[in-house]
Amino acid sequence: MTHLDDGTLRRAHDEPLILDAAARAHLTACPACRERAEHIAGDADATGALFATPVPPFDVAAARARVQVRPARLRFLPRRIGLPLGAAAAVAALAVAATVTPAGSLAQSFIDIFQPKQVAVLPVTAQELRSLPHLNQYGVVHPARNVQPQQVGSAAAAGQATGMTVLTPSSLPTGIPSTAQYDVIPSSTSSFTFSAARARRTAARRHLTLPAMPSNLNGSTLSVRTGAGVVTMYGQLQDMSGLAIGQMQAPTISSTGASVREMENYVLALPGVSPQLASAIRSIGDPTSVLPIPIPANLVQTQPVTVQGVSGTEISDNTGMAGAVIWEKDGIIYGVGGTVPFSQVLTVANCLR
Amino acid sequence: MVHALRAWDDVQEPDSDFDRLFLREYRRVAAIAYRIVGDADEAEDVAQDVFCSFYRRHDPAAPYAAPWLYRAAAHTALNAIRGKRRRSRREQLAEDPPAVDDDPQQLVVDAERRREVRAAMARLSERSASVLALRYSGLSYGEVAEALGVKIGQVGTLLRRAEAALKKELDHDTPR
Repeated sequence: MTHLDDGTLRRAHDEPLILDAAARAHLTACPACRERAEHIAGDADATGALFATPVPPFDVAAARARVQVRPARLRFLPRRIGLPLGAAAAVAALAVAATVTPAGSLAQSFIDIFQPKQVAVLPVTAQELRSLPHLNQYGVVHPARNVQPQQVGSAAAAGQATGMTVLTPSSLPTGIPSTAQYDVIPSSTSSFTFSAARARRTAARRHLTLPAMPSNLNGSTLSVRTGAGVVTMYGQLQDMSGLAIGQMQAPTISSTGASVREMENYVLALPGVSPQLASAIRSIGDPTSVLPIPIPANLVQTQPVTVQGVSGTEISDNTGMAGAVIWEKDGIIYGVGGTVPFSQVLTVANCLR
Repeated sequence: MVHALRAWDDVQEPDSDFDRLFLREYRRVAAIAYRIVGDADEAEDVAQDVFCSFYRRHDPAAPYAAPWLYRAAAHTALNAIRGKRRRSRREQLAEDPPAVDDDPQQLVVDAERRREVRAAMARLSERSASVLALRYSGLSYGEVAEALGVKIGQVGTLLRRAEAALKKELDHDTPR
């Protein structure tokens, strides 16, 4: 019999039964193969020792809470689109997606138990987004169920699914295809329970100095119910000829234990929340009536605007090639955005019926 | 609280193919990444990127879902440790010992070993580093073969070469 090859000897070290009787007999009788087998086994054992560190007990539920929102967000923010355009186009989807993004979830923590009556944009840098603390390091996140969008065939069907009157534009800018795609995002509830023990473990593991957690905060739960939403898409944003219209029932928040203000003070003092972001969130004002919506700083400009007879926010990207507007009316948050100049976006927003 | 408990129950009952795939494979995907990056948080970042990437392009019920995720985890983790931009932060993180071990001397030794292994893995070929990460994350020879797109009979050879290459890299690093 020919000598056993290195690959066979390596596998036989892990799975001795793969050697048939003839191979085993050869290995027993052949000093050269035995010597190689011992050498290979030695390397294998040494490598095994290098990788002997136990794998951490990854928290699948917490990971799912973070990941499950990404498909919904990615669904509305094609990766191929350029950043400035993506930033502007994002705003149309923010009305339905803001509450399920990490920044949105954080911002929502500062809303009180009733539906907010206004929206306010919150410029956030990419660095600030990346450095936001993972809430599961400071408590237990109970994620929302299935927030993935479902496509339906018409505005009427979307309205039936969400209990809203789905607004459609009476006219569209030149170059925007008139065929619409309707995606319904179901309402969902998620919550977060503060845990002093988990915060202590995080501090020890990361060598962090955390703000003192008020005793009544430990075990307090903040529940967020996001309203059902609809995104109506005309054309493709990545093809530079797209327009999106979003509408969502304003979220409602409830809490047990500590006050929302105490929760806000604690979370804003956590490592990873920049002083600038904390200050910006505090400056938004009364959390019971204003919904903060994060937007990418440095990529867009914002200013107040009147839309549908109420106050809203104009958001234009730095290239002037894309724009969006966002507002709240009668308990519903609306957003319109697309790869067209802002003036055309505003025209569409005002002709929604 | 009722809402919270209900939401938690929902987590326990996956309601889509993606959910089921995620719940079934997340720990394994994160473990593969951990064997390469040596940092729990960064491994989770890799795992989440991999799942999102899969979601965008593939059917979560596809029969190739698991091997695709395993291979992508190794590939993405290797890209992460080879990125110069993030290296200094990563090395700092890797030097932070885990909280589960109380022996300070052992912590120092473990941290140094993780740093050396990570650096050596970064210098190996992608296939060698991948086969090590996959096998030492607990994948069977069959699963490794499927993830790498090779015959099961080739895995032993790839593993042997990878272990020899890793040893050579580590020996090269060791001061004489």
